[in-house]
Amino acid sequence: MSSIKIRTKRQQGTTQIRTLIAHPMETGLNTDNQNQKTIAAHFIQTLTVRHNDEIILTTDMGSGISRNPYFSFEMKGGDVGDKITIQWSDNQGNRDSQDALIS
Amino acid sequence: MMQTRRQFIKKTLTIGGAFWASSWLIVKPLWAQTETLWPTGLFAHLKYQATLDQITGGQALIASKDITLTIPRIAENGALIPFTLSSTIEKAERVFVLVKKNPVPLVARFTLSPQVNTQLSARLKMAKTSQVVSIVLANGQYYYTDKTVKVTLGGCGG
Repeated sequence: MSSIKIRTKRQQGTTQIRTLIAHPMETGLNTDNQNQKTIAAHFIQTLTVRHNDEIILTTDMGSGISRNPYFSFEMKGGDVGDKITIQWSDNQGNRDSQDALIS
Repeated sequence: MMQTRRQFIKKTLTIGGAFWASSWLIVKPLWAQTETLWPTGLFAHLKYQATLDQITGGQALIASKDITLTIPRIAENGALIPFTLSSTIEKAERVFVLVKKNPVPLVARFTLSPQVNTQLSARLKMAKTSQVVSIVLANGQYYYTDKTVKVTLGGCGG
């Protein structure tokens, strides 16, 4: 199961790309209620959006983005069958990538 | 040319190995690219002004009516505040979203290619009531608009 969900919607001349990523986005400032220890920072640092393997948007973020991040972008053009790839990497070295075709 | 089974295996391994090595060399920088891009300094625990100076390099911000920041005026839960940012400024290269009183003021930095419209939505966290500032970099100028969000329950821990 991928951590990334992608939805695309073609509009007049543009394509809306929405994504939902399963990620804790820990700030490193919260404490665990059970053992009173600080929870280590764990957040996505970079998210890239590709359209047919070409980078169209990069997002660099800190822990100020909410848990299970949601993003919505708007791309010019976009045809049925075009490939949208979304990839993220976090501060603990994890990464994931997911493809979706515009329908 | 006749070749023994041993020679054949040896050849195959050498050629295959060379292919594997070269493909690895090509693929590696692509992965590395996404890792080195993240600006550590911008996302440090700094005061708002210090972060802003890093972004603009001391350049003055220009208030703009062409940026629309849609965000609730009162947020019950600081851990999840949806916002939408749209702008009609041409040739926007970068978009920054900052929360003045967060421990890490910069929330996100979007780098846009000409293929993308300045129409972004996401969800952010806020520690307490603060101004949310959105900055659009276009043609070497920094345009901004801000809004105050009242938070009744913080979302950055502590």
